[in-house]
Amino acid sequence: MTAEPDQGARGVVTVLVVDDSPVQRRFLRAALDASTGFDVVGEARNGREAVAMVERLQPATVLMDLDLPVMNGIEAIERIMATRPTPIVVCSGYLGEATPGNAHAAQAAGAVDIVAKPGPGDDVNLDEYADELRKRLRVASRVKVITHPRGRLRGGHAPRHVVREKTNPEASTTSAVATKAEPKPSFSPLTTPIQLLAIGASTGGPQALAQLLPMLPADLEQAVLVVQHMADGFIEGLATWLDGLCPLPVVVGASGKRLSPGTITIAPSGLNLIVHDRLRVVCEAPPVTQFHVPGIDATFTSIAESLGAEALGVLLTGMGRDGALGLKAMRQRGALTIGQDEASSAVWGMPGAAHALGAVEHELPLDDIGPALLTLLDREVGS
Amino acid sequence: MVDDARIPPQRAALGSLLEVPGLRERLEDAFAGELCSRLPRLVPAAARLRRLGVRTSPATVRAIVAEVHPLASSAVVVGAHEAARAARAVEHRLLAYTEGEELPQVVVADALEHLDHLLSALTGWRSAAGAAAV
Repeated sequence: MTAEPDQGARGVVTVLVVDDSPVQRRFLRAALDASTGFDVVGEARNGREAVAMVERLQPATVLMDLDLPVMNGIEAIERIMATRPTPIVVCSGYLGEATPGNAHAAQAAGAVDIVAKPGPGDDVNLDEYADELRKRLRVASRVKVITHPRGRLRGGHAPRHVVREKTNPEASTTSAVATKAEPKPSFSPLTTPIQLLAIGASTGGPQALAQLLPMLPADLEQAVLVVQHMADGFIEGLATWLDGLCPLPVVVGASGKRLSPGTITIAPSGLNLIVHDRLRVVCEAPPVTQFHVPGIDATFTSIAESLGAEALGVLLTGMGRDGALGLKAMRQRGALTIGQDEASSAVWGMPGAAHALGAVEHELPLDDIGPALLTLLDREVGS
Repeated sequence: MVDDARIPPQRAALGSLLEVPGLRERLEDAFAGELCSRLPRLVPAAARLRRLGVRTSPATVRAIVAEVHPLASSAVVVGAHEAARAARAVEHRLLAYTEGEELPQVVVADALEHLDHLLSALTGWRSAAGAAAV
């Protein structure tokens, strides 16, 4: 279980609301005004206004629609991240099954989080929706974002806007030491036969996965399981997107199925994916107190119990601490564990927490994780 | 201010947030205002779709999608769920045809049916907002 990070004696979170709909702007302002922890400092009706108002008002966070006149949301995010980096939470109706690419485009442009506007088919409770928005904005406000040069974005590379949690100075310090002192590790093939490669990710995860997973060859003998924090309804789009990038087929997991060698299975949204009886899967409703769903801790812990040393655990970029305890359980049961390093992480929250717990056996930049996995699995790097 | 008596009665209970004094009225005013700006673009585009059928231009299809998409989200907020569902149905039917793909007759017929349903569901709001009739 991963709870919402403690906010401590936090101050008021200032928010710029960006939406061309006056209904949405009024609703969002009311939703944030309902809590004393937020102050809506401005409302922008299009992307251009948003860019200018971020520059002028310097809000702690931006709550932004994507479908905007004059300048669309994706371009506005890119410009804000290039000129005055600010944590942006996207709130849009253009994120669902019909337009799965928008969520990834927003994250690639630099958005920290995405929330779907409630649609007509949803069981709408505006209070719960407002509460969810406040939670996401509060978490986003704790992320320190740095300049994301637009030219780099336009160059077609996977973006790596380096974002670090302000409230984790300990993790930051330990990583800095590790980065300076540790020589690049060398790997040799594992002697234990590996059945499963388990990967957990959150903020910045889709881009990291898009860089890592295509390196796995089509004839991989191991099953691959990915747990990516994502709001309900977006996992199918993520799977479709990754399936188009990877030599291995990418599917969404379901209860009763078995993880297949040579297949990447993505944990479904809204449930915890539990591995049992070696590679069997059951999907369970998470505890009501669990903040991130699907939960990485739940999956990794079940893998530790089911497979022990016959699994490999990788914890990638992400906010919060989910996955740290699970990765530690895997390591304690003999699995080799890898954590993404701070410099290459969009947010060094989860891997930083795992590092602090001693759950990470090897801390690597994202670029090195794929080659390391191939070597550990006795596959030719670059094949 | 929108006259409550003219607003369709299908609003669902949406939670305590809307019990904030004056908020529901402000949202309804905003929705009426949104209709004032969107319907004058949507209604002629719907008429073009009805008139031209499968020969309707991608620009017209895009214009319809551009209006019904935000309308659906806004209608949800004010509890106009029937209008929201109809707007989203129009969007889902047309979204794949915004870049010049061949528009099948069945898609045109479905989209027009949903558009009629949408405009019908908005009748009370439209009269409250003083929006133009079809």
